[in-house]
Amino acid sequence: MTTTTLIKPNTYIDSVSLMSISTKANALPGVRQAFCAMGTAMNKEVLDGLGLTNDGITAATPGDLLLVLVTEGTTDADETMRAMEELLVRKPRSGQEDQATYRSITAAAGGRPAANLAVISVNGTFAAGQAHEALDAGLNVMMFSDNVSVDDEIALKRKAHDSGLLMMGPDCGTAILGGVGLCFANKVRRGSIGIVGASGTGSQEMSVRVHDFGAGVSQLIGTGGRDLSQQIGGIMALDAIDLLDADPETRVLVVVSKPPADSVAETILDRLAQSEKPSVVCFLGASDALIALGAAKGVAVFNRTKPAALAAVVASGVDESTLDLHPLNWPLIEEVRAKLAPGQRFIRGIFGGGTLCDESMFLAMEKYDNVYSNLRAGDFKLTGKDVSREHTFLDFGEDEFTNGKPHPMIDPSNRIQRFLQEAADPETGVIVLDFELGYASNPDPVGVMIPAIRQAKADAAAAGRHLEVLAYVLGTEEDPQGYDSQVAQLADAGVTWASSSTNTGLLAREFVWKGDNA
Amino acid sequence: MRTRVEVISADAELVRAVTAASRWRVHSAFRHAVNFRDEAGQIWTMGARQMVDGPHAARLDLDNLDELGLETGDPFDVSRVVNFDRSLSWMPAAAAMPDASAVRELERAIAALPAPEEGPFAKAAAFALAERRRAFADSPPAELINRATALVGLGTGLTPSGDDFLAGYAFVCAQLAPEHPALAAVAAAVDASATTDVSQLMIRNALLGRAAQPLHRLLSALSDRDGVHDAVLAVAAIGHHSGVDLLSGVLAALNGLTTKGTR
Repeated sequence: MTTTTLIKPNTYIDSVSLMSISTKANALPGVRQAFCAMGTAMNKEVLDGLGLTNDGITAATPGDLLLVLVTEGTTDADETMRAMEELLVRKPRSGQEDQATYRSITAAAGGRPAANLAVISVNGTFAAGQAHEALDAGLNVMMFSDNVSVDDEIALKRKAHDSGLLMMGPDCGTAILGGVGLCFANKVRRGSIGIVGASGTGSQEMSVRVHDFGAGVSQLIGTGGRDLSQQIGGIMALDAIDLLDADPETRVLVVVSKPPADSVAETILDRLAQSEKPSVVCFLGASDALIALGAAKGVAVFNRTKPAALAAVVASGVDESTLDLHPLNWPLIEEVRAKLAPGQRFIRGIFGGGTLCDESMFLAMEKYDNVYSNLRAGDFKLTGKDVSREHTFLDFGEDEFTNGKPHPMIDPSNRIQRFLQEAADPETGVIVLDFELGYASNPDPVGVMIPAIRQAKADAAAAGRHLEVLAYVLGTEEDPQGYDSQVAQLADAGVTWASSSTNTGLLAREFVWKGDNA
Repeated sequence: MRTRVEVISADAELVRAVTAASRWRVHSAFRHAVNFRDEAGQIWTMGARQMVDGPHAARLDLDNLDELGLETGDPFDVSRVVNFDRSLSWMPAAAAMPDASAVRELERAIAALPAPEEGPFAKAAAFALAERRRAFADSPPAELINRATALVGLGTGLTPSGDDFLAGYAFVCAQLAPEHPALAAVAAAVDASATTDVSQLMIRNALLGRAAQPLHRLLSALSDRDGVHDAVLAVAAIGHHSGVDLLSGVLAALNGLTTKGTR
């Protein structure tokens, strides 16, 4: 066993990073224990108490960072200390030779004539100006920023349209262009299905279901959530459809969105009807009238993601009879119903993905009248501060929850309190959680929630109740977090997991169904 | 010319300090907050929009201070980079003494918080911390300085846990019982024993009854008996475990102040 110490003078690490560094350092090969703390007298005393002090530590000041490593005898202690030191370094954004930092988008466009896309993720106040600069420099734009005015959005999209460029966003969370995933995208197979997405997690779900059904995605073009509103009129969605229609790699066109404005929905359907390529539309929560309108125009319109993805996959040439369609598991539903007490009647959905929340909510609304949400208006509207009422679906990605916090797809920890609250409510029949994998998401979204799930389950058992937790992991086995290991953690904690967003909503509403006595 | 970054809100003392001398230097830079040192050695903090108001701090209309590209030691001319013209002035309200049942509610809300994940050092320090916090809270007046000193700088983070506890404790005493002997003891302890610069600043402000806004909100929630749970969550969200440690100090002080006959 070897003890190695390193003192970094005048080095300040905030406590959240310190915790993360400490966790990673303790996972380095050959490390028995790794310590990372400021050199205050009392901290030095603690290290002394552990028999880990030396002259250097004794001389350290409170502004110095102490790194102490206890390694196995056979481990190269210096090498391991270097690895620990590496963890302290904030990864430079221009660390590779083919990367460079420019002071403006115009300068970057000049310095990189081969580049054709700018991703803009700055404060909304400055985002429109940056996007104009990018478009003027001949770049396509993906704008992750939100809080951009409708007027700015219209001006940017018109400019992009006139210049033959893409203006994805504002508030565009997902795109896959030429096989490259941008922002919150999942790693999916390349193929012949082109997706136009006006909803972030809706697009992710569509691409992941297509992948799961064995097909692949040619391009996924995000438009931003407001594109199909009356004011914007689907400028970007229509341009994206034109592009995919002309793209020889794309053989099937898919549009996915939350419910659009009626006139815009009709325009989109008319445009798709003109294409010779088969088209599939998923307007979540679409009315029967809208579905019939699509049918009249020869466009398949669905109000759920999974059947829409299946239709697209089949249209791309996959034989449906070869697919595992993940039908609803009725024995499981019966088993859960039997475990719930008569009073455990309600679904409590605590979502990070807005469209996933929408889909489960719409499915519940097909069966129940008493569904409340921060995504609904009028009598069924709840705010983030309200306690849950009957069936409640909360989108934790909404501003009221993210104000002062990262998006729950990056930091799911702000759902934990709400989860524990719902778990303690004896009227809760099932708690529904979603976890998004992919490039920009939390490195272990399920892991963050597991201690709370275990605690809540133990508390419920002590109170003589069954606590049913239903989870959905949006991702593929190729995502950096690893789908299988995320699901395995859920299974290990006694959580039921659903195979798709659609099944999540269906399972939740069936679990708590009390038959005619409801 | 580059547009200056708007300040959303700022401690009036910070605005006064900038007016007097605006050439600062970066003390430490994080994604959502940057600490600066002015020419007189005083520490000031500028945080992103989502950070909380507090003493010696300003909130900028930015999501992320990485955009400023600052690193430790960089010079920073405040008045050229940020614009205070539309800034709100942060002024915390004075609090009233909550009753014992409110303190019980606080205790329950704190008990329901999930324990923060802890590294091995924090675990090693945790036992000493728990012992010393208890010893301080139960201390006879003559022992207060020694027992406070034993907490200064103890634990992980830029504001070690022992400091957070003392800050929470001192803040409550300064707000509700300005004659409390713990105030002089904490002041003497922090003078005598070194801790991080940021931590010293936090404790010195707490001794004046000034703390991050969520702590002020918590005291008013307790005296109004309204929104205690949410206020506790807001404090707990400060830092990795700073919030929870601050809460333990607040609770210990309130327990002392509202339990009759024990002192």
